[in-house]
Amino acid sequence: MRQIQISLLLCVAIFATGCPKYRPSVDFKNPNSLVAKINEHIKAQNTLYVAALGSSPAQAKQIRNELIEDALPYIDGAYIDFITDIQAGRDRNNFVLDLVELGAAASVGITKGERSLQIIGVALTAFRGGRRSLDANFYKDQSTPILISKMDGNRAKVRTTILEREKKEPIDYPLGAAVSDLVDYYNAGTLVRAFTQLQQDTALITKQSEDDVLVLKGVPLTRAATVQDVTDVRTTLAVLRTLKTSLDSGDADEIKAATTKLQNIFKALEADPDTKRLVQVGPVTSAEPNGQNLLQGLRVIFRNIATDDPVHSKIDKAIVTNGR
Amino acid sequence: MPPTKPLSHTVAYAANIDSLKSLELSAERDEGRLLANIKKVQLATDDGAKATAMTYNDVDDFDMGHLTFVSYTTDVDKESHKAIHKTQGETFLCEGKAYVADKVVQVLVFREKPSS
Repeated sequence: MRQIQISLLLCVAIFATGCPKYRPSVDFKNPNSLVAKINEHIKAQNTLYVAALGSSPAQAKQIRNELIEDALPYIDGAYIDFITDIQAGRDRNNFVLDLVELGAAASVGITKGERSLQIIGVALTAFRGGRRSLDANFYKDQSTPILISKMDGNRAKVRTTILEREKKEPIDYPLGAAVSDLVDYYNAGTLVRAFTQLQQDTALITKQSEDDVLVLKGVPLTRAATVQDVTDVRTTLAVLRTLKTSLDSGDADEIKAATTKLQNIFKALEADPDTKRLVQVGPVTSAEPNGQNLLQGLRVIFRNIATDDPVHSKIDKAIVTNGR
Repeated sequence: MPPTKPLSHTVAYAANIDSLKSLELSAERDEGRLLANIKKVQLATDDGAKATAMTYNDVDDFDMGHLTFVSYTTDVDKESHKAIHKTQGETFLCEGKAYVADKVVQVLVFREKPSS
């Protein structure tokens, strides 16, 4: 019985724990792979570039730029195939595997340039560092269109950099750096890079959001309004609007009538103990003969009370009853 | 008459406010109560607790209220809302973030077309 249990446990352990693919298989021997094509292209151009570098820097620059521009369509073609595949839900790893091929095999193409080798080595290391992100199974969290959009954006940024650098002389922008940019362009169109970029973007947005948060101290939370609150406010505002229009009319009779109404409003406020204290705090009383001053006095009262204070209902009543 | 102070007011609303409509009604009420126009909607902490802060600036007229709050998720969504509300004669006032039911939402604030 015990042997059966141990056997069962071993079987479960073997079949339930998959082997993680941290090192994707690389097929260097396939002559039709993207890497082989680019590698072949780099090798051919590298020979011409080295020959021209000493005698004619202008020609070397032209060869370098041709190398870049001729390699880009291969990368673009592979990228288009890739996004077509992931849109169809097929491909999740192939392009990433190609990336390793490119990084490793491109170094074979320019063995004469130690610096290029180092650059590609760095690019490859960076990729492997980012490989963990892929293990996070980010498909669960990120939708394909967002990732594609991010990859498009990443590629466009690198492409802009390349176009800018192509103007430089070989001494400032050597072939090794150009190949490094090609690798970077390739990497920009990978899910790993899209994912890490999205993480960075999210971190940035979070930081910005945190910066935008207003820190308040001692400000009482205001009660949410009801439809009735808003109806009352609208009614009161309509009365105040009419009074202001009358005061601004220039018509003496109209001004006088409005002023009398405002004085009556103040009288009503002064008659109620709850609202009387508000009038006493303000600079205006019902004895004020100037209508504009009375209106301004009401503004002061309004702005000195919390917006959700129940006393507003009494003020509304005083305004609506006496101001119409 | 001395000028009325302060010229701007910051009002805080609880993060657990039940809906965007409640926030809209509250902003409309508070414009009328403060005789001011809304200028800003933003996330805040009020004595450490999450809150939505709205800033209102004093105005002399009484043409306030009639606000519309709309939530959006993407830039495309935002621009669509702006275009739609513009065709309806509404004026875009401001955009910001607010808490609704303890969750952050991005909001656009419009003022309805004045009734003629």
